Parts: sequence; structure tokens; C-alpha cells
Amino acid sequence: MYPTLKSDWFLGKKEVNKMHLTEILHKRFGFPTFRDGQRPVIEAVLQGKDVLALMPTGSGKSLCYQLPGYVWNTPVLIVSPLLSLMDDQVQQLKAAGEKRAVALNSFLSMEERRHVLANLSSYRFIFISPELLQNAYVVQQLKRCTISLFVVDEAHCISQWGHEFRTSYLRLGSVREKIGRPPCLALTATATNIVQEDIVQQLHLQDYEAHLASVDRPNIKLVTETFATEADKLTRLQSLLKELPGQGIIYAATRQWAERLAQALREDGHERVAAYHGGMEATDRQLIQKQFLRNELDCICSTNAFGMGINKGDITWVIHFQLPSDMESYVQEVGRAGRNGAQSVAILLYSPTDEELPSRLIQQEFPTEQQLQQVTRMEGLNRESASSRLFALGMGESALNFTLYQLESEGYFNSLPNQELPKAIEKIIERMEYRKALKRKMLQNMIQWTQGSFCKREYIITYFDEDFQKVGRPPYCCSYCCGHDVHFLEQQKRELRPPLQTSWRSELRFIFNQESDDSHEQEKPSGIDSTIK
Amino acid sequence: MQQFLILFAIGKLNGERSLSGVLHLLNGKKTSQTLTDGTLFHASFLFSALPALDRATLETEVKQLQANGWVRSLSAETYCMTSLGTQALQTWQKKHPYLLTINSLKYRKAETLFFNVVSLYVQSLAHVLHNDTRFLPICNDFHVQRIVKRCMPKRSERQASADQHYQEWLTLLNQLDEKSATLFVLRMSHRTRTGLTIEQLADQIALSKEEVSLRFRAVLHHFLQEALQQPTLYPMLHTLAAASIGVESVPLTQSATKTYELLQQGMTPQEILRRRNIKRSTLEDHLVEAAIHVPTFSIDAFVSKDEQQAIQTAFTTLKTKKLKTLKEALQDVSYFKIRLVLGKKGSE
Repeated sequence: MYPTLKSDWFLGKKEVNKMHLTEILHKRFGFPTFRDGQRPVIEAVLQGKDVLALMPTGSGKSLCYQLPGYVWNTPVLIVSPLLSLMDDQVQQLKAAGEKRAVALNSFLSMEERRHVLANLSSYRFIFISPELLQNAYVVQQLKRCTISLFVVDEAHCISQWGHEFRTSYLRLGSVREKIGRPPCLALTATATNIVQEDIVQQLHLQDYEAHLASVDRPNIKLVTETFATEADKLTRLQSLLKELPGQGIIYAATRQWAERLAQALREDGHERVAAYHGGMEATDRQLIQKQFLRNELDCICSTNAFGMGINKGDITWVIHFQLPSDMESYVQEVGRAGRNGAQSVAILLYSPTDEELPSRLIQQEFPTEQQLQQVTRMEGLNRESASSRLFALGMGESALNFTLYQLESEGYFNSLPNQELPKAIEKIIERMEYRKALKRKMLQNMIQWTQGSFCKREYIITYFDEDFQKVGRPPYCCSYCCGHDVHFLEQQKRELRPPLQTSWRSELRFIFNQESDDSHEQEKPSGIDSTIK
Repeated sequence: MQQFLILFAIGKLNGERSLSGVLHLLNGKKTSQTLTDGTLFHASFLFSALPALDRATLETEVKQLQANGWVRSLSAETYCMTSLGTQALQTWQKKHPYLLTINSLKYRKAETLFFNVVSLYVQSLAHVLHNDTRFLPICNDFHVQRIVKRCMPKRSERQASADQHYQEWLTLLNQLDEKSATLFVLRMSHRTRTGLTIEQLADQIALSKEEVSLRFRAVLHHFLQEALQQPTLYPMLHTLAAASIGVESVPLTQSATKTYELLQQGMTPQEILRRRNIKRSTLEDHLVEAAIHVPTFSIDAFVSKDEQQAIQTAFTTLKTKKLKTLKEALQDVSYFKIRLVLGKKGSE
């Protein structure tokens, strides 16, 4: 049916042109045409090139590795930053009829993991965490099954998280070499020139093709509003929620804030609001996510744990109740609105006290200088014992990972002479100060963007090293260009949550199909259960 | 709710355990000691009833209980219930009969898996009954999905299975009060609605989160209990329950399970000590656990019949389970033997 190529599967440009990519697209994915930017990326991938693809959120990034997966007969490996994201993608593939997809992560039991690892070549798509790729056995098995494509999803994480708390990202390049250097596709929605260079270097991309789409999302109006206190912000949030149509996400800086906002809004009469964060029970987190996807909720109050990989096109607005830590995060989070192309809005509510928390978080991500100095007195430790000693010094997870990785790069676990250690520590401190300064600068950029009297869109475009002249200004640009008004959004009817008006007996009949659907839907006021207020 | 659960725990532990003991029990900290407490005093539903309770909150609540005159302090760390407290508790308990359905010792391990299996099964069945096979599963867990896949009926038997399920659910839920039945069904996901979280249910039915959570667990345990014991009455739910509970239905700690298995293989306690390289006291803890939880486990090899009789007599005479008091009364009998006999007795 399709050309299936075994040993030398990479195609010449002409062969790719001859292939009926659109036919595969239609047959496998049900889309009639490619979206902007997908086709050139897929063609480069099929030719076996290294590719750096910068594509805006919602432009169908995953298709760029999924379609080649159907041209080749050996597995595509996808390195994914979040466990939940991995699971979601596997579930979405399965729901679309692809059985040969699997997520390899620490949630699998030993037995399951062994089973999957022994049969790697039977899968079409293998999702994996960067941490698991550090495992020698995993790498050995991957090497044996000939990976056709090495995908790094959300590749900006290399720069954003890699240097501190997920140092496994920094080893992806060498892992790629170990498994036979398959071509690499690095995917991201947002990356400045610096971050792009970082990605290219860390993943050892060579003679790569860069496909850089604009970060601009013309259908999202960018609004910032400043308030003196948090209480004022909350009041504004409450009135915004009464005005805004459709569904949206409210981003908060901490779990406590996410809970507080959801609570406050519910008390204000917005029943269809729920909190979502990493501290919740897995079951309830799943339920909230599914409710949102199925439009049973209007609004999720969330930490940044929510959003990546959420496949929902009709999010109309995103509100930041607190300041994101940098422009990259802001653009990522805002980009979850309006993926269906409909006019949407992003509103950032700012008050001066917002700056404290992200500054504190930056401090906490790194070890203190004193802690690092104490390391000079540690001798002859292996990774594991060093890890527990660092923990005893009071380092948090990301500070600890940072220190371990830096020690390793300095050869500490590999017979570094003791007298060299103080010098190595000095170097590590220097690097740390550099990273901290960088992060503080990124935060300052964020604040400057929030506060400045200039076009918000133009600043972002320029920040990501694009030419604003080429991008242009959409009709609903930003609060600087056209004010704070949000009434231009298309008014959508909000549905009520129907099933709660029915009794458990009728729910049960509906579940097990004990009568026609109609009677379930008709049974409304009369069916109100006496126990439900 | 929280206040009464704490009062309940203090009442059940009856001044024989410190506040830490109360906290461990309510938090559901799985140590041999907590499990022993649970069974010894027939207070299994308290186990893990307040998993998020912290020390400071507990102390504030106890102060309040003291101010109400419901508990009084015996020493800095121990409290017992007053007769006023007993009255208050009785009034409260009448309003919460479902608590007695909870059997944490037996089903705590299985309940989460069982819930995940049941909700994914229900969601799947509700969809495939309408030939809808493209839906996002409510549970992404590989293990759960495999169990559900194994239990799903063949295409031709789908409606028949659904009919049977409906009958089983209706029977079991009719045995409960309306609130419990309602929240359990609303927690399930089907074709037009996603299940509700504990918090949403609390809002919806106007109950506290703690109560919703306990009621929910009571329904799960009710389902498990009935389905496991009466496979002929509840064939559908029996399959799901049996698959969830797996082979390991004895709520022993992992280490105790290992000891118990070696014992089953015919090893003597001395051999186990050497083989597992554990302390004598640890081994004794394991044997006490086995005495409590494994009905077929005989303690005769460790305590002579005469000694068992003596301990039994001391217990009935002194009306206390306090080990120190019993030990003083019995003189030559070891703590270990007393615990074994009490454990065995508590489980009968």
C-alpha cells in the first residue's frame, strides 16, 4: 500500500515528492490537507535529516513524527518531558485506532516494563522520559530495535529545565549517539535564538534543517492589567469571569493559589470551576481533565502542571493571576487559547507583590554557595552516596540534581584528584551564578513586558528574534494598541451540566442501556433526586 | 466530621495509646503497630479516615474536645473519652451507620484498584453498548486497562452483561441510603458525563469532603464484600472484584508476608531469623500480624494451651488490653505471647 522501506529507508527529495503524503494523511488521520508548516517538516524528516521545528502550539506538531511512523516499519522514539503528557498522547493515539503505541515510564511495573522492553520493535511509537533513557539496559534494547527517528518533544525544556532539575535532558545527545544516531526531530513552540542554539548543541544536530514558524498567534489578543493588591486582582477576576464566554484556564503560581481561586469563584456562583494541580489525587486529576475536555467545566484554576499536551481547540481565554517566570512560559501557556483559530484573549493580572515568588523560586532551584563549599570536604563518594549527603545538606530536588550533574561533568565520580575539587567547585559556582543571573534577567523581561508602554505583541515577536514588520498587527492586537475590552469575543452559549438533575436510578439505567436515550434526556426537573439540593 | 472521627479514635484507643497512636491510626500509616491497634479495638474504619490530618490540627481539635468536656487527659500525651463524650458520639454515630461497612484492614489495598477497574469498565461498557469505541479512557493505568480488557464481554454478550450488571448494582445500591448510592453513581463516567471528584460531590450533595470520602469507601467495601462472598448472586461484580483483589487478599505488610510465606514452607522461626537476617522482635511483630489477619494461622506452636488459657483469664478479669498491666499480672509470660493471644482473639 505505502512504500515500506526496511534497511535504508530514507528517501531522496524526488521520492518524497512522489509519495502521496496527502493520501496517507487522509487515510490515517482523516485530515484532507496539511496545516501550515507541517508538510516541509515531514518531508525533511522523511529524507533522514536532523530537523529543528519551531511550530506554534496547536499547529499539529505531533503529526510531524506520527505520519513518518506510518511510512517506516521501525519504531519512532519520542522523548517527552511529562509523564501525564506521554500518557495522554498514547491514549489519543489509541483512541484513534493505533494499537502499537506505548509509554515507557516509571509508572510501569517491573514486569510490564520487561515485557515492553523485550518487544520494543513491535511498537510504532515509543514514548519515553529522559530519565529512563539514562538506563543502560533500556539504551541497549533501543539500540537493538533500530529506531527510525529520535523525536524530542517540547525541546525547549532542554534549556528551561535541563540545566537545573532535569539534567537527564543534557545527556540526550550522547544517548542518541549510543543508539546508533537516528535522525533527530526537535519540536518546540517557543525558542529564542539562544534556546535554539542550546537545543542544537545538546542534541548534537548536524547539517540540520530549521523550520521556524512565527511565535505569533494573531487570533489571541494580549492584555495586561495592573492592580495595587491581590484583593483588587481577585475582584477583577470575578468580574472577568462574568463577562468572558466559553472555556478558559486561569494560571496561578502555586497549588494553594489554584485552590483558593477555584474556591473563591465557586463561592461567587461559578459552579463549573475546578482546581487542578500536581498535589491532587491521580484519579481526581484525571476526572477534572476529562471534564474540561468534554466542556463539563468552564474554567480550570491550575498551576503550570496543566496544559501541555491538552488537546482542546476551543479554549477561548487564558488568564494569568500571577506572573509566569519568563516570556517563554507565558507564550506557551497563552498559546493554549484559540487553537481552533477563533478569536481569543489572554489576560495577565499583575500586582507588584507578584515578583517575590518567582524570585524566591529561582533561589530555591540552586544550591547555596555555602552548601557547595561543604562539598569540597566530601571525598570518595559515588553518585548514590553523594546524593544522600547533598540531601543532608538541605538541598531541594532541583538544587541536588544540578549539583550532581555539575560534579559529574567535572569528573568527580571519575577519579578527580582531591586537590582539584576546590577548583571544580569554583567553576560550578561560576556556572551557577551565570544561570541564576540569566533566570533573573528572564524574569525582569517578563516584568518589563507586563509594565511597559509599548505594543505587547511587537515586544514578544522581537524577543523571539523575529521581524515584526513581516508579522504585522492583527485587528485585536493588545491592551496597549486597543485597550482592555474583551467584548469582541464571540458569545457562546454555556451549557448547563445536565446529568446532575437526574436521580442515581436513572443514571444507572442510562449507563447500562436499560431504556432508550430519550427518556434519560427528557427526565429533567421531575427526576430531581430528593437528596440533591 | 473530623472532630467526631478524632473523638471516636480516642474513645476506641481508650487511653491506652498516645496522641501519636491516634494520628497514625487516622492517617492510615501502615505499620504493624497501627494495624494491630485497628483490629484489637475493632475500629477498622478509623484506619486512614483522615489521611491529611496533621499533628497541629489534631492538637487543636483535642483542645476543643476537652473544652466540650468530651475527653479528659490522663497524662500529657494520652486522653480518654468521658461519659459526656460517649453520649455525643453515640448521637453522631446514629447519623453515620455506613461507617460500619468500611473494612479497612481487609479492603484498603484493593479499594483504589477496584474503583479504577469498575469506573473504566463502566465507561467502556457504556460506550461500546452504542458501538462507540473512540473515547478517552478515564484511567490511563496499564494494569487497570489490562484487567478491564480481560473482563469485557464479547460483542454478542454486551447487552446481556449490561442487564446483569444493572440488576447487581440496583440490588447492592438499594441496600444503602440515597446519599451513598447517589454519590457512588455520580462518581462513574459514562457517555454524556464525566465522573465527579470527591470535592465536587461534596459541593453537590452538601456534605463534607471527609464524609463523601468515607461514604464512597463504604460503598466500595460493600460491593467488594458482597461480590466476593456471593459469586452466584453477583457474577459480574464478582469477576471485577476478584480481578482487582488478585491473589493477595491478606492485609499483611510486605515484610510480614515474606515471613509468613517462609513459615508456610515449613521453616522454623529460627531458620527464618537466619535466612532473612531480621531481628527477633521484627519476627515477633510479623507473627502477631499473622495471628490477627490470617484466620488459618495457628498460634499453638508459640503459646501452649495452658498459657493461652491464663492470658485469656487475665484479660477477662482485668478487662484491659494494656500489655503492661497484663504482663504484670501474668509475671512469667512474655509480651510476645500476650500479643499473639490478644491478636488471635481480636480477629475472631
